Formats: sequence, structure tokens, C-alpha cells
Amino acid sequence: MSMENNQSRTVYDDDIVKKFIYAALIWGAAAFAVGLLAATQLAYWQANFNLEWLTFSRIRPLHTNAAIFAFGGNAIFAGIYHSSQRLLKTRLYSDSLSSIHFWGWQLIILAALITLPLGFSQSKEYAELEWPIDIAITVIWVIFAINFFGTIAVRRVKHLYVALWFYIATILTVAVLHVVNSIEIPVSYLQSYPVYAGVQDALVQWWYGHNAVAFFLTTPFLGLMYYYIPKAANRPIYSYRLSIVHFWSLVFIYIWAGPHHLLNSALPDWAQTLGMVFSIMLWAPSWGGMINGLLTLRGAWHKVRTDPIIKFLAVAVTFYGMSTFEGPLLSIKSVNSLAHYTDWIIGHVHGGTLGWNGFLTFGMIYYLVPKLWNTKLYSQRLANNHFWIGFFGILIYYISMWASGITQGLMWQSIDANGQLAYPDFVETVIKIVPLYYARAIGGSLFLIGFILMLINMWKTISLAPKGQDEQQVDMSNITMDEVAGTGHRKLESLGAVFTVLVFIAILVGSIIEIVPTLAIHKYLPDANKVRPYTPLEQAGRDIYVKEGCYTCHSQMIRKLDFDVIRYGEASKLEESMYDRPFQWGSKRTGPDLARVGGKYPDMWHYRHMIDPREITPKSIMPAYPWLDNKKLDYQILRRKLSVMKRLGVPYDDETVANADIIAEKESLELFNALLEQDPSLENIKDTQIIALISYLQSLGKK
Amino acid sequence: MKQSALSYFQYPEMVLVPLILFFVFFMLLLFFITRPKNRELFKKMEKMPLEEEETNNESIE
Repeated sequence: MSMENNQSRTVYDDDIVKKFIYAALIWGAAAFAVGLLAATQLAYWQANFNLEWLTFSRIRPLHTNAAIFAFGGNAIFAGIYHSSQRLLKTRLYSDSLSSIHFWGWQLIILAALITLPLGFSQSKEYAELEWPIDIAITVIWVIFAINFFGTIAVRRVKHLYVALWFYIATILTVAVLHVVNSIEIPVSYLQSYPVYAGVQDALVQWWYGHNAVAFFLTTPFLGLMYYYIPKAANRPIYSYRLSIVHFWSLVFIYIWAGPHHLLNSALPDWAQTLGMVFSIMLWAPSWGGMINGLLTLRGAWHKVRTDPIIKFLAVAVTFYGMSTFEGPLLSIKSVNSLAHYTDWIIGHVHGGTLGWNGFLTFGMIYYLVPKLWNTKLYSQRLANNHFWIGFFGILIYYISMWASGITQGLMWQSIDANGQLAYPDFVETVIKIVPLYYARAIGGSLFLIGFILMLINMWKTISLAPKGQDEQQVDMSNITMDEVAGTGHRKLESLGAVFTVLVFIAILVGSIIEIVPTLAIHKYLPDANKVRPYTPLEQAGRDIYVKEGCYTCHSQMIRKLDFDVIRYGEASKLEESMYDRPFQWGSKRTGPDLARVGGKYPDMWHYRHMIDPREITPKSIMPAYPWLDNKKLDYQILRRKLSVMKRLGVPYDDETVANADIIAEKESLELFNALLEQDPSLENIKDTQIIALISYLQSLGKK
Repeated sequence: MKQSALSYFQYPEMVLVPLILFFVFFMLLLFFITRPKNRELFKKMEKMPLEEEETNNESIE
């Protein structure tokens, strides 16, 4: 514990807050720049410069992880550490833990920055990082939790302000989500298979994925909102009562909403309905929070015109309201049948992240930097320019993605008078929206330009701040533990613990009821319905599909919707993905669904398509994957992979596991010879990764 | 029998369980926040972020 605390005064640890702010600014620039590169590639596929580690399917997870965990993570750590010390009237529990937390988190981000572009990915959205990094995240998160709860334990005031409740919910729930979703068995230093398969993996992943949005991008930011809006507006929060209802309803309801990512899929209907009902119920607590945030500005609305901090905060809360209106709307099955897999979802997500998380962070940093460095903001004008450029950037982004998503969704659904698809060729629906991808890239550019103005403003503000300032001691002589009558120290200490347990119960109820029945579902599938496991070569190809991030653009889930069935074939069934670790149902169709692509085209078609998609489909926006036909396949590791799969319940016999490499080599040779017969120039592709990938693609829907 | 019953696991009543749980929970919350004896505490808590004051939002440009 820090020696900086004593009975009458304390020195807050603001150095750690400053470090996290620096990190948020640096990683924010990286996250936005990578996002812009990814967006540009969708408009202009050549923008990957034919480099595998710059290709959309590799950098898309890098962008999401950097934006959520690097920019967002460092921002919330800065805000939580700054506000908690002031709300608890004490220095952080341990300077050493703070430092380990900071450097540990930066190393994790660095590891993500290296491994994701190299293709080391689990392909589970926002949980792509491989097992060693997963362990590191757990350790650093526990350190953060000890530091935070330790600070609560040594606090000088009895009551925990509402912002702290949101921080507690964040720390606790993110730990549960991360640990449960990351249970995996390693097959090498940088690859693992999840213990869940198919529908189980889908449900656990989207329980995690949706609640990563809830408990990493919503609850901590709501905590920051409840602290920084009153501070910036110099007004008490509108209603403490409302905040109580808002907090508990949100925490209780949010955890159930994950299945709305799997509507109309093979997930059992009861789970889909549960996800939909609770998503719609989320409207009320979410808007309770928005109303509380905006009405806190009552009497201070004039500042919206003049004060860029209030501008950022007010617009952030407004975007929160818009996103939390749109989210439940998209969770209604009929609306979802139009919007799912389209850019509407991308627009919705970015309304939340750029508008809510981004602008709230900017407002908080503009508020904090002058205070922490004991100076004044270098330029209000630059901050105002940042606001307007960023705001129009978000609008262009949002509107273009709405238009793109609705256009493409309607085209997919469109049936002509003969009962046939009006746009049977998928690429027709892509060509139509490419201009909107350019518009999106312009919106993203504006957001990044605004952020660069902020970096300049922050750099000037900090560099002009007085140097060599000592940390200021804060007088605590008026602070007592018993401001409210009838309270004792022991009761105060137990309040935080009881509160934490209650939050834990609230999130656990939903999680257990939703997930546990699904975990047993494969056991009760009739034997006749069960599919065969992947052959060794198909499994090897599947791992390449995962490594290359094909799921970022292709789904493998034909929904129970007429227009999906007409386009792709019979709706996907649970048993078809029962050995899929990780599941590859996907969440976006920039390209067509692949669940039944097996046998639809010849092997040579797939080869040519992967090497140059334009040779097969002239207007395709898919990147080329030329490196796949010169990288050799590692046969040896297949024994280990199949052995792990067998341990997880896949019915491989001992002979197949023991000879996995030999079987795969034989399969590969057969496929290679068939290709060579058609094109003798392909003599160099023997034993390459592209052969395994073709083998996997040809197995889809054919098992 | 068990296998055929569970092979396509459909529990429509599962939706009701959490709804009832939430309703009870919500009623308890309403009871707590409307108790007159908590009014003083809520007033105090609303102002908590403002207890230590520092205002420095101007520009030096």
C-alpha cells in the first residue's frame, strides 16, 4: 500500500492517469488509422499492397482490438483511476500494481499488434488473441481488480458513488466473460482450439461479444459519464434515484442480450426469443442513463455553444441514446432479417464507438489534461474544430453505412414475379454499394483528421505547462467516514463487498440460464443426424481459413429465411457445425455465405479465385491471396491437432490421429495431381496451404 | 424418449423465468428508491463529484 496516505492529507497518483492518457492518445491514432486502411480496402481492394499482413481480413481484428482495448481500455483506466481516487478520497491502493497494470496492458497491446497481422487469431470477434495473450490479459485484469478493490477498501468515505458501481460491474463482468470465453486447449505456442464447438461456441462467443460491448464499452463509460458530466458542467447529477434504477436494470438485462447476434440462425428458438425480448427491454435502462446524463446539463445548456468539453460530452450521450435505440430495434427478428450481415450493423457499431466512446473519451481528456498538467488548454478553437470535423465524419460514416446496409439487405431479399432472386449474382449487390464504401472512408478520414487536431492541441498544452511541479497534497481533515448517521466502519467496508456480490449474482443468473442448456445440446442430437468429422487435410485447411480471417467477410450460416435458402440452399442445421472449433458462422457478408459452397465449383475455380478473384468475378472486391500457393503446409502438427480434437469429443479413431500427417499428405497429393492435370504450370503448388484450403472449402455442406 | 424430447430443445417458458425474476427485482428497487428515509442520502450523493472543486476550462491561445 502506498505511503502517500495519512489521516489528514493525501497525494493522488496522477502520474498513472497521465500515462494512461498518453497511451490512449497514441493507440487511438493507431486504431483509427488501421480502421481507415481497412475501410479504404473495401472501396479499393488494391490498398493492401498485396501484403498479407496488411490485408483486410488480418487487420480488421487488429482495428477492433486496438479501438476497443487499446484506445478504449487506456481511456477507461485513466478515467477510472482519476475519478476513483477523488470519489474515494484516497490514493490508489498500490503504486506498484498501478505500474504493472499500465506496462502489462501496453505489452498485451503490443503482442496483439504483432500477432494479429501475422494471422495468429482465434477468429472469435473481439477475442481473437491467442492463448498466451489471453492468460496475460487475465493476470493484468486481476492486478487491476486488486488495485481497484484495494482502493475501495482503504477509502475515506462511506458511500460508493454511482460511477464506482459501474466500475465494479465492469471489472467483475469482464473477468467472467474473458475467462469463460477463453477456455481453450493449446496445440502450439500460438494456436489453440476452444473447448466449445458449433452452436455452443457461437452462443458463448456472442454472450461474450455482446457483453464486451456492454461491460467494456458501456458500463465503464457510463461511470465516466456520471463523474465527468457533473464536473464539466459544475452541476449535480439530475437524479440519483434514476441512476440506481438505471444501473441495476442495465446490469441485470444486458447479460441476456447476446443471442440477438444469432437471430434466424440454427440457435434454438427459445434462446433467440430470450435474446430478442431482453434486447428490447434494454431500451428502458439505456434511455434512463441517457436522460440522466443529458438532464444533468440542465441550467448549463448555454455551455454547449461555447465549451468544447460540454459539446463532446453532450453529443456523446446523444449518440449513446441513438445507438441504444437502434440496438433493440435491430434485435427484432424481422428487422434483423434485413439488417444482419449488412453494413447497417457496421454503421450501428460505429455510431456507438465513434460517437459515444470516442466523443466521451475526447471530452474527458480535454477536461483532464489541463487539470493534470496544471495549465490551460492550448486552443479552444482547435478543440472546436476537432468537434465539428469529427462530428461530420461520424455522420457521413453512419449515413453511408445505413444506406449501404439497407440497399444490400433489400437486394438480397428481392424476389421477382417468378419467385426467383432478383439479384442472383452476389457481386451485383456489392457493386451497388462500393460508392458508399468510398463515402465511409471519407467519414473515417474526417474523424482521424479531427483526432490529429486533438493530438496537436494536447501536445502544445502539455509542452507549455509549467515544468517541475510537485504533486499537490489534498487536505482530508474534513473527510469523515460517518457523514450519514448510524454508520460504522465495519459496515462501510462490507458494503463494497456485498455490492460486488450482488452484481455478480445479477450477471450470473442470465448467463447460467442462457448458456448451460446449450452446452449439453450436442449430446441429444440423434446419431443419424451427426456429421463426419473433418479429414486431416480439411482440418488443416480450416485452420488456414481461420488464420486468414475469412470469417470477416463470409458467413457460414444459412438463416431460416426464404431468400437465404433460395440463394444458398437448405438452412444450416445445428449438427453441421458440431465439430467446428472455433465456429465460423460469421457476422458479416461482404462476400457470399459459404456454408454450402462445397462441390458448387471445381477445385480449379477455387484455386484461380484465391490467387486472383477478378479472374473469376471481374468486379469482385475480395483481396487476392497469392501467398497461399507458395507457403508449405505443416503436416506434422496435424497429429497434435487431431489428438486435441479427439480429447474434446470429436470421434476420430486412434489410427487417424496417429497417422494424421500421412493421411493429409495423401489427400493433398490427390488434389494436387488433379489440379496439375488441368494446368501443368501448377507444379510448384505441391504441399502448399492453398491445397488444404480448397479441400476445406469443398467439404462445406458436404459432410 | 429423453433423446427425442431434447433433440430439438425448445423451452418457450424459459423466457418467462427471467422476466419474472426481473420484475421482482425491479419492484424491490422501486421500493428502495422511493423510501422517504433515503431522500437525504440521495441529495448528498448527487453532489458527490462536486465536492472537490477545480475549474480550469479556459484556453491560453
